[in-house]
Amino acid sequence: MMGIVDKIKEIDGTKVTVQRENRIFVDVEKERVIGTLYSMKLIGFSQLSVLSVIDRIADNQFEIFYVLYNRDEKVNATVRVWIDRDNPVIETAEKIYPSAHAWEREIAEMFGVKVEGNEEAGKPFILENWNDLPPMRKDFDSIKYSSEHFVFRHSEDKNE
Amino acid sequence: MEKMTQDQVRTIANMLRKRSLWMIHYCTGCGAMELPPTMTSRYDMSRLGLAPFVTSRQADILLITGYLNVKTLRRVITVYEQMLDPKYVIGFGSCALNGGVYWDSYAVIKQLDRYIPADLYIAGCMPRPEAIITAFQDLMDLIDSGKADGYKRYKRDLAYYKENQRKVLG
Amino acid sequence: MSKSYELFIGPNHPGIPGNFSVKIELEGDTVVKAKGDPGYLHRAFEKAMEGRYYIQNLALIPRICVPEPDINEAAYAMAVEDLMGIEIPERAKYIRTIVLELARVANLTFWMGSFAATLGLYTLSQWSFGDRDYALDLFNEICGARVYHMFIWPGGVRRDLPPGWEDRVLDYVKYIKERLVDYDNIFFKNVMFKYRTKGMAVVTKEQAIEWGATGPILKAAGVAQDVRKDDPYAAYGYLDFEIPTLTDGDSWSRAMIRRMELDLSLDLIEQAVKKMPKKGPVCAKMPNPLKGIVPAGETYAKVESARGEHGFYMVSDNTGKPYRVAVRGASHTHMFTIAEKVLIGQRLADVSHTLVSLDICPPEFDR
Repeated sequence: MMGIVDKIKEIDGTKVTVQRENRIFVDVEKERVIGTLYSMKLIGFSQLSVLSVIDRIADNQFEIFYVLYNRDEKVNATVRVWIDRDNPVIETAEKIYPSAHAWEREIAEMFGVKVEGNEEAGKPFILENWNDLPPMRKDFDSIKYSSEHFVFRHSEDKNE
Repeated sequence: MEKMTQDQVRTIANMLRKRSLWMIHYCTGCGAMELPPTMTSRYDMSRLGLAPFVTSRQADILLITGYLNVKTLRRVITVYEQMLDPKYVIGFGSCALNGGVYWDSYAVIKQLDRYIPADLYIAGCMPRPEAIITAFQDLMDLIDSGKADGYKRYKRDLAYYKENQRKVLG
Repeated sequence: MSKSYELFIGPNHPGIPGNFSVKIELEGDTVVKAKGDPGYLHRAFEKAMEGRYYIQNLALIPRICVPEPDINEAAYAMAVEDLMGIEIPERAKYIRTIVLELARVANLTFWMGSFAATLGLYTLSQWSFGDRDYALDLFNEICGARVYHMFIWPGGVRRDLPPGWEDRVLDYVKYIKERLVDYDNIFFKNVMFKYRTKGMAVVTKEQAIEWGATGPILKAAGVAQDVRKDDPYAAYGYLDFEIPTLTDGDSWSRAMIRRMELDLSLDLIEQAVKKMPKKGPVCAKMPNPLKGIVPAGETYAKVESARGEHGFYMVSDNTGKPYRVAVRGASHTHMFTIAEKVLIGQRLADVSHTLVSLDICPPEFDR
């Protein structure tokens, strides 16, 4: 078990936290994220489970996380990287994990993160004709948007 | 033989119409999960003369199975307008009625009958096959008595429906 | 003049699994390009969950995946328990296992019906949808609902089983085992089924690993990866089972893997009912759910759905509502990475059964 943690620690610039057995968190700098993912794949983390974003609005940062799985050691590791919220740019991981392509399209649409190198990121994916803030950001108010665009049914509407 | 009045023709037409309703096979939401049991051996809606059908041009019933998000609404309106008269809409589940658990969602519309006229609603999430069968029987009664007139309302109040549609679809 | 032309399959198409569209480009009737177009079922779950208390989210989560809602409840409950550091009672673990496996049986019988229907055999769908319904009756007994149960919740399960329920589950298992003989005779041993699926839509072992496949796609390619075995949750750690694998990775192997998984699930239910403690609490002692109880932290909880790895990534900031929940549906990767690649070169008539053989579940990736 400790073997895989040591292997991750050997990758340059990683800060490793072991939460419990088979759940590891790896914090890296923005510049090193692609290199780290590549090294992680070389030591056996061959499956990308989730790639998504957490909006850390209090720190004005986006946290991008990649949940990886190592089939041989049966370990999940989460690579976390913080980027600037005002200029959210991240390099694509689709060359390393092909399944990252669709997840990156999703984060580009839902959070407005620019993904360099992914041609389709930024094109409409799930939403259609969307012209407001990216909806998963914390400063997008879903209730306000709904009450502006849709009409709620109230009990007095019965006779309408 | 005396000539039949227009009313008599309509009565006979409605009587025949309600006996062979075809439902378009469009699973707009998660309520579509209770349709396969309704269609197949256990609840078997064919015994009421109902059958699922693939194209909009030959179908009579449009089931809005649950929530409708804005992207689907555009397709539902197209499908509804492609269907030939007379056509009937059943709003299925709480979400079509008032948004249901998605009341605060930015993607889901809250009232189906602002965009297309609904003849009947089934409450609940999700309605059981028994409720669906009852709804079909109620719809037949409405057709028989000439009260299922959603398609006429759509023509009469087209400006109202189009304005609401434009407001969400842009 | 262009040689190829575009065709939309879905969203209103009987051969598509749910409300979903695939845009394909054809030359003759051979697919040269396929592109999924999701979003017809987008309800903004992840946004809605941020605005609700943990207990309120229970009503939302089963709706993420319609054919098999219990996996969501289990993954959500496991994530919350992990953050709170709660160990659930033994009996609750077994009840969870039985419920999850029963849901898997319901899902797999449903899948068989849809798969046979896309191949043109409607007899099996009439049978299997009917047989699935008896499983829903059992759910109806424990929670009062057929489809969305909200039975598994943080701390254990919502209430104890009604008297005699275990026996009725065993009766159902026995019934399905009898029926499976008929299913085999009409479908799985059918020559037409073999002709239509052998060598179709192959995902080799290397491809499956590279593209990030999970579940039956990976097992059909020869990798025995299963969350139930690798990272046991509920009572799977106490049960004795082997993960079935095949080697070809084609449509036929995936169907047969699901057939074997059905046997495995029935076996697991029997084992769990036998080993389950007959008495005991079914829910750990939980604090008041409306106060901020879940400590700050991040976790990833995963379960094995009938389609593959289903996970919840949950971030809490100790305010009573989750700060962020990201849902991983197995179909996300299966559609946008795998199906878009394996559809190329298929004939038009095989598109819909290839999609069903990969078990694409649109609500999982639209969310």
